[in-house]
This record gives sequence, C-alpha cells and structure tokens, in this order.
Amino acid sequence: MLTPLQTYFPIGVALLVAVGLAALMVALANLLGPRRPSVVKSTPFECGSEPAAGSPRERFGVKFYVVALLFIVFDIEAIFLYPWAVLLLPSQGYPGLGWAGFVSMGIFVATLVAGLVYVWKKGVLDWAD
Amino acid sequence: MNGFPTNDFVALLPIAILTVGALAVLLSEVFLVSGRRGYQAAITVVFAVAAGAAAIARPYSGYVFNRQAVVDDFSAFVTVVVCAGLALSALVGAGWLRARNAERGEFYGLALFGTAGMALLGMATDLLVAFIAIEVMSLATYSLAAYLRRGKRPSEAAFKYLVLGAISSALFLYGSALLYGASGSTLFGELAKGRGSPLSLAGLSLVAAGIAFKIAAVPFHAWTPDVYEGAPTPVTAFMAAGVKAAAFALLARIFLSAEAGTAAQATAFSGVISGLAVLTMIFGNLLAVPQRSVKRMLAYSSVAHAGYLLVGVLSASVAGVREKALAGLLFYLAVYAATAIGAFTVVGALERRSRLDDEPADAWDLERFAGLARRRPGLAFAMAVFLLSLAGIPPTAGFIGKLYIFQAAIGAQLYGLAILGVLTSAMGIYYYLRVVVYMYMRPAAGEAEPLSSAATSVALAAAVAVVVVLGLVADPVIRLAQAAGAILL
Amino acid sequence: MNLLTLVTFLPLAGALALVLVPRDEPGQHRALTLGFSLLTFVLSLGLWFGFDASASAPEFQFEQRLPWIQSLGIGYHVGLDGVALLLVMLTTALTPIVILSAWRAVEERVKEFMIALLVLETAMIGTFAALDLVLFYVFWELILVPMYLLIGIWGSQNRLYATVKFFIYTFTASVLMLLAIIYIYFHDGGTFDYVQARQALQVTPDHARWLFLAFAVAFAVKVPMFPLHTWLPDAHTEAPTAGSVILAGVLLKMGTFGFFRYALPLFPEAALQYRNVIAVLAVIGILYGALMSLVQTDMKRLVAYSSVSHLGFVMLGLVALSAEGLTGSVYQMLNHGVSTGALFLLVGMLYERRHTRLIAEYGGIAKQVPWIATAFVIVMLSSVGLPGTNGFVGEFLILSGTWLSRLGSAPVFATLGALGVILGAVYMLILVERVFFGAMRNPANRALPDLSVREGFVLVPMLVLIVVMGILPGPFLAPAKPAVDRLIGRFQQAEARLGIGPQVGTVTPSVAVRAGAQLPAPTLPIVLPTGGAH
Repeated sequence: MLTPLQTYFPIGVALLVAVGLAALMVALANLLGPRRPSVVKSTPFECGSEPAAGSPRERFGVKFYVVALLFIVFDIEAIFLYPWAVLLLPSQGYPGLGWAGFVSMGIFVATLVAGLVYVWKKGVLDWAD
Repeated sequence: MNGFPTNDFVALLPIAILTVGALAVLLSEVFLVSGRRGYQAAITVVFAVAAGAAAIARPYSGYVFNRQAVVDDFSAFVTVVVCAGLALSALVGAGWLRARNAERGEFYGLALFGTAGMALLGMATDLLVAFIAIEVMSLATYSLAAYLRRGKRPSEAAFKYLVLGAISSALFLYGSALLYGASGSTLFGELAKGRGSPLSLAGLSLVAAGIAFKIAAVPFHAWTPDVYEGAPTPVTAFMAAGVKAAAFALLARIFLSAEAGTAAQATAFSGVISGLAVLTMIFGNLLAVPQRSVKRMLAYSSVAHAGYLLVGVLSASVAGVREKALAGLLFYLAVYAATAIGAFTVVGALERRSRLDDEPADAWDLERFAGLARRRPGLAFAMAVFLLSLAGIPPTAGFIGKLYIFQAAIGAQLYGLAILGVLTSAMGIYYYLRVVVYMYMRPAAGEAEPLSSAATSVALAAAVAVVVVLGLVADPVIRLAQAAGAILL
Repeated sequence: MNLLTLVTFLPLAGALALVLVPRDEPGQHRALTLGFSLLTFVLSLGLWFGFDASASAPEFQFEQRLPWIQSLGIGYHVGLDGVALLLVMLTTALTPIVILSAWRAVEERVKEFMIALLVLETAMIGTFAALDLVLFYVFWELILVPMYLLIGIWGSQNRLYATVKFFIYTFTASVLMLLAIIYIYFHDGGTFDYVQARQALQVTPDHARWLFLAFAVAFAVKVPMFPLHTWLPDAHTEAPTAGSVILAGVLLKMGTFGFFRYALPLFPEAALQYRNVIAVLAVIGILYGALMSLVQTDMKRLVAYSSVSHLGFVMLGLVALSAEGLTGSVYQMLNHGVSTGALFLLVGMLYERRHTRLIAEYGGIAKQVPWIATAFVIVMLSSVGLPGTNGFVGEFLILSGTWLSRLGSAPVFATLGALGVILGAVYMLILVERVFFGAMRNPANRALPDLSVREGFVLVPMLVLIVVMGILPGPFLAPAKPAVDRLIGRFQQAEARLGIGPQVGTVTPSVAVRAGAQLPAPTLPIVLPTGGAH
C-alpha cells in the first residue's frame, strides 16, 4: 500500500529530470557558446520591433474589462456544459446523471440567464457611446 | 437511473432562498426603474427572514452531498445569525445609502449573495465546499467594500481587502492540498487520519492562517482597521457580524475534527490556535486604545473579540466542556453580531458626509460624539448599551457571552488564557468608556444633526432589544446554542 | 411577592417610571424619586422588624429562589443575614436623604440624575441581598455604571479623570473575582449558588489561596485598602455631594461586606494565612489615611482620606477574627456610613453656598451659620469616636477585639490603631477650628445663610442616628450577632480540619466578658457575642 505521498514519486522523478535537463542546457550554452556582444544585440526588443514608447500604464475603456469578464463567464459555462451533456444520459451500464443532473444544470443555467438579463438591461452590451 | 437526491436540494433551502432573493433584487433594479428604492431593503429583509425561518424549520437534517456538507443545529444557528445580521444591515443600509443618494439594488443583491456564502460555510464539512463558500462570501464583501466607488477610502479598502483576501484564499487552498496529502481526503471527518504528521500540522496551520485572515486574528489582522474604516459603514457592520460568524463556524468544525478531545492529547495545532488567541487579545486591545476614530476603534475591538472567540474554540477541544464551549462560542457570535451592527449603525448615523463619498479623516472622530446625549438621547443611550456590552459589563448580553466563554475556558483548565482574557477586557473598558465620556460628559461641538431614518431606528431598536433581553433572560437562546453546540462531527 | 425582592427592585421600577415623565418637568422627577425612595425605605422597615435575630433562626431570611439562567447554573437567589440587613437598611435610609440633599444642588439633567440614583439604589441593595455568586457579581458591576455617570456628568472640574480612574480600578480588580467565581462553579458540583458553594467547595489549599486573593483584591480596591486606595480621593473629591455620600456611605462597605460574606467564609484556611498581611495593610491604611488628612487643604479630600483611615479600622476588626472585632467592624461600617455621609453632606452644603472646598477660604463662620457649625461639631465628634456617639462603640470594640485576638502581635496592631484614633481627633479638630472658629477673615463669608428647612430634614436623621447608635447600640448589634457567630464557627471548623491550635476568638473568655463590662454605662444593653473559641 502506497501512502498518498508515495504515489507522487513518479511525478517527483519527472520533475527532477525536467529541472535537471533545463539546468544542463542553460549551463552548457553558457560554457560552450561564443559571446560577441554588440550595441544592437544589447538593446531591448519586442517581437522584432522597437519597444512601445510612452507610459505603459495606459487606461483602457472599462467596457473591455466587462466584455472580458462576460466572455470568461460564458466560456466556463461551456466547459461545464460539455461534459454534462456527455454524461447526462445512461449508456452501457453507466446510470447517467438523471434528473438530479438535469435540475442542477437547470438551476445553473437559469442563474446565468438571470445574470445575462441583468447586464443586458444594465446596458453593458450597449456599445453605442 | 439513480434516485433523485431530494435531501441534497432540501438542505440547501436557506441558501436557495437567499440566492433567489439576490436575483430578485438585481432584476428589480433593472426592471422597476424609479426614484424610490425603499422596497429593495424590504425585499432583502423578507428573504433574510424567510431563509432564517427555513433554517429553523429545517425540513432535513444530516449529511448531504456525500458527507461534504451537513445540516445540523450548529449550521442552523449560524444561518439564523448571519440572516439576522443581513436583515439588520439592510435596514441600516437603507437609511445610510439614501442619505448619500447611493441606494441601488446591487448593494442588497451582493449582501444576499454574501449571506448565501456564509450560510453555506456554516454547513461545510469538506475543504472544497468550504473554499467555495469562502469565495462566494468574500467576492460579495470585496465588491461591497468598494460599493461607494467614487471615494478614495472605499477603493483603497476594497483593494486591500481583495489582495489580502486573495492571499488568505491561497493559504487556505494550499493548506487544504497538504491536508489532502496527509489524510487522503478533503472531508473534515477524515482529517484525524493524518493526525500527528508534520504534513497535517503544516496543512492545518495554513488553513488556520487562511481563516485567521477572515476572522481578523493577530498577526493576520493588518487589513482590518483600514478596511473596516474605509468601507461604507453598513458594509462594515455586515462584515463584522456575518463574515466573522461564518468563519468562526468553519474554524470550529475544522479544529474539532482535527483534535482528539482531551487536553492531554492536544496536538501542536492547539498551540497554533492558542498563540493566535494570546496575540489577538493583547494586540487587539492595545491597538484600540490610541484610536481617535471611533470606527477604527471598533475595528480593533472586532480584532480583540476574535481573541475571546478563539479562546472559546480552543476550549471546545476538551471533551468535558466541548458542548459548553461551542454553545458559548455561538452565543457570543450572536451577541457580537447584534452589538457590532448596532455600534456601527450609530457611527454611520454620525459620520461627516461629503459629496464625493470621500470621508474626511475626522469623519468618525470622537468629537462627533460630543454631547450626543443632549442632541439625541436615544441614539446616545443605544450606543452606550452597545459599548457596555462590548466591554462585557452586566447586565448586558456581552457580559453573559464573556461569562460563558470564560466558564468554558476555566472548565478546560485554560487558566492563563482566561486570566489574560479578563485582564485585556478590563483594558477595553478604557476605550469603550471614552466614547461614553464624549457622549455624556462633554459639551456638544455644534455639529449638524445626525442622520435619522425610520429603517435605521428599527434596526437600532432591534439591536438594543437583543443586547438587553439576552442580558436579562439569556436562557432560551443559550438552550438553542447548547443544542447547536452538541454537533455530530 | 417576596419583600426583599420588592425592596430590591422598587427603585428600578421608579427609574423606569421616571423615563416616562417628560424631560422638562424636573419638579416631578424630584418628587417621584423621593417618593419611590421613601416607599422603599418604608418597605425595608418590614425587613428590619421581620428579621429574627435569635441564634436558632435560619441564617438567611426573606430568602427567594427563582430560576434565571439555568443552563449556566445561575439562579436568582436572594436572602439577608444580619449584616446584610443592616447594610440594606443603611442604603434605603441614606438614599432619600441623598435625594433631598440634591434637591437644589442638581439643576442640570435632573431626570438622568434621578434615574442614575434609583438604579444605583437597586444595585446596592441587590449586592447585599444576592446569594448567588453571579447575581452578586452582576449587581456589583452594575453599580459602576450609574456611579460613573454621577461622577462624570455632575462632578466638578477634574471629573473625567476621576470617573475613568474609578471605573477602571474597580473593574480591573473585579474581573479576577469573576474568574474565581467561575472556578468555584467547577469545584462545588456545578453551581453558582453561594450557600451551596460554601458547603460543597472542594479545592486544594494552593488553589484556595489564589481564589482568596482574587476575591480579596476585588474587595480591597472597593474598601479601599492601602495601597489600592488611590482612586478614592479623586472620586470623592470630584463627585457631586450625592455621589460622595453614596460612595462613602454604602459603596465602600461593599468591599468590607465582601470580605465578611465571601472572602473569609469561603476560604477560611487561606484567610488565616493572609490575615497578618491584611492587618498590616489595615494599620498602614489607618495611619496613612490619618496623616494624609492632616495635610489636606481641600475639605472633601480630607474627608476622603479620613475614610481610608476609618475603613482601615473595619478591616483590622475583620481580620482580628474575634467576636468583638467582627462585631465592631460591622458596627463601624454603619457608623462610617452615617458620620462620613453626614460630613460629606455638610461639606456639600458649604460648597453650595461658597462654591469652594478649600479650607483656607473659610474661617470663623460659626457665628454666621451656628446651626451648620453645631451639626458639624456633632458629626465630627462621632467621627473621632467620642464616648456617647456611635463612633466610640465601633472603634472601642474593634480595638479591644484586636488587642484580645489571637492575631500575631495583636497588641501592636491595637496600639497602632489607637494612635490612629488620636491622629483622627487631631485632624478633625483642626478642620473644625480652621473652618468654623477664629476670626472671620474672608468677607465672602459674611452673608452665608444658615441651614434651610430642607437641609434640616437632611441632617436631623443623621444626627439622631449618631446619638442613638452611640447610646443604644443593642438593637443595631443584635442582628449581626448570629452572622458573626457563624463566621467564627466556620473558622473553628477550619482550625479542626487543619489540625492547628485556636486561631480565632479571644485569648481568654474572661477577658472578653470584662471587655464587655468596661463599656460605659449607657451601652449596657450590648450583648456581646462570644465567639466560642473556648
């Protein structure tokens, strides 16, 4: 019988191998690689272009955040819905989630719909101004 | 096709009622657009009362959701306390927000959601359920703290609360992971399996640290004064009453599952809780002494009271007095909820208002209480009752609560903690009485009339009634608390 | 309805009635309060006459038991023994006098003042009547709130400092007593009932010592015993006259009563161990209080320090643990209530006229106010213990009881105590001489009005009591006798348990009888309780 910790042993081994390999590569590159610095090489770069000028603390419209939030909410709803839909009905000896699953998801979706109605009426989806 | 798990759904009835109430208030906010929003507080009170009634009626008792949650007297008591706290805070909020032209459905909706989380926390017997409940509760209170978003202080308070709350959630979650590693389960009932192992102790300590943030125990209290002072006053009242009660319910359940039941077998976890209690009682009281802002003083007082409650939790680990200690804890929580809401209500009625929701630094200064006994004798009397109760002077309910907790502590032979407890509460006399001095013994500073509204008056009267009646005829409530203290686990 | 319960809560009912009277009717408030306090006094006479002082009578009379917070083991249990009866009578008699004295002195917030006084009366009676430890503690602490308000709202310049100091001092000392009470609950079979706890308490001697100390410190602050007395001069000086009278008359006795009722009988072994320490502190208190009185320039402060000295006598008599000493202590509690109460009333009357308490502001006013001067001299004589006044009986019993007691080096204590009596005469005579006699130098005193009729009504009962209690102490000593005997009996049982020689009572019985015979002729009706150490 393995204790819960012992079952993590293979993961630990994998972790060690990964860290060791990465460390080895960095170390080898440092030891063996040629080093010829120049002005161009030392400047900071950003995806091949000059770094953006000005303050990085720019303000975005608050609507972007709200949309991002709404996206996450419905994205996660989809994540819940997909396995639920697969497991709802019985098949091949598996009993299925049954009415309990149906009612639970009904409550979940109803709550989300209420939330959607709220933000809709609140004017969050209104992009006019 | 397996059977329909009716019990699981019935058990959640109070939480369902609160959630439906929250949705109802939110939808009313967008559909019933009119200048007057007095009905929203009324809806909130109705749903809070209904949820409390559902918790008392309790159509089903016992474990639900595969032993991840439980409906028992303990959870019912906690639910009733947090629902009562919600109802009182909603009434207080109605008058306070109207005076600032900030009464919106979101306030009540968030409070209802938060209360649902608190009620669930009282039922949780599984680390994951507890975590979900904590998050539901906390997200609502973070937003409530920022409710007056135009002001600097509320924003600062909300931001601090959010950041430190996130840390506490992380600690709780990490501790849960370690506990799972030690015992192979997230159920409280299985925690004892890993007893004695360093992993379990580390896990329990991290979980306790996470909860210590919520109950504002020293050294995890740093956010409390700023958040309590900066948050809108009705929200502060709600946090002091509800969050504390729910978090203590959780701590009691976890602590009791982890402990064996006799002082001799006490694990190092007891030492952790005992250290927290000592620090909290000493520093909570010491730091309250120099405060001139009454709101900040009450925040530190809330820290100090967490210390006394921790003594109650610790006493509960001793088999002979477990029931007494738990009952004392619950009674104390109920009394503290009423008292704190009442005291913050008076503070809210007196605070200096500005157009930008940005309270000036002296908004809650002691000077604002000067001569209150002449200007508004009723308000001053109510505040005096709350302060005497917080100080634990008979014949208020606060005295019975302290008597109860210290009785349990002495029964558990925690003499040192009991002596420290009474001595620090004597220290508390100084800063509580200072407010009484200003109200009764100093001439009025000639300030504007304090805020007054019917809803606030009802809330204050109810809080005074609770504090006085529980001080004089505590027996019925103590019996309920005792029944609730005999939890299964 | 139990008479004792009625007497206890009638003032509170009066306070509730006052709440309903409109604020701008001070006359009604005064009249209603006086009415309620007089009614309370009349009803308490029923206690006085209904009390059976024979040795065979039950220890606690007018007993009543009701469930209160059953789930915590707290009951409503009240009853009176002789000592409590005397102190309840003192309370109910002093309260109407105090209210009458404040008739004109208090013009501000009369309603709140009267409510505070009535709540205070209920709390004081309740403290003496309670037979449940938590009930006792509740009344004990309840006293702080109205007293705090009385000093803080209606006091003089430095009142805020004085009232906060008073509250914090007494509260801090008594929370430890609360812990001791809770500890008792777990070691007497789970009850807060005093009578039961006294019988069933089972603690180790070591713990008994700590418990005794917890009780003793709470009571010592209230008495107040040196060195825990520093709140008293401030509180007395800053309090309004009514507050000072109540404070001196009744509140200080709660401390000595606490020793008599709780600290001594609950933990006799520990008490025997600490009696010498207490006796030393008591004698220091006697001398220190007297010496401090000698140098005061403020009349109220002088009287306050004289209280420290007088209460030192009471404590000395208590720890002498002889029948004479204990009886004298009980008697001195009453005396101090009457004579120091009267002193504060008189000082208050002078203060109302001149608005100063400084001795130097007066001088030679006896010609101007002969009646006040007469009353002051009588009260002063009582305070210094002149034969024929009540003070003599108490001090004589205490000093002779101490001399004859089995307290270690008892004669030394008695001699030093006697020195305190002499010093007491010195400072009181100097006070009277400086205030009333000599040449009138201060022109402000030329127009002082003498006693008004109302003030006469205030003072006459006190003066009558001083003389009656000095000449006929019998009726006032009789109720205390069974209680004193029982206390000595408990100590004798403790001696038997410890297997040590006699520690209480007097050295020889014959001396006790002679001590009784030495009392002056008018005091013959005294039937001195002979503790029975023999």
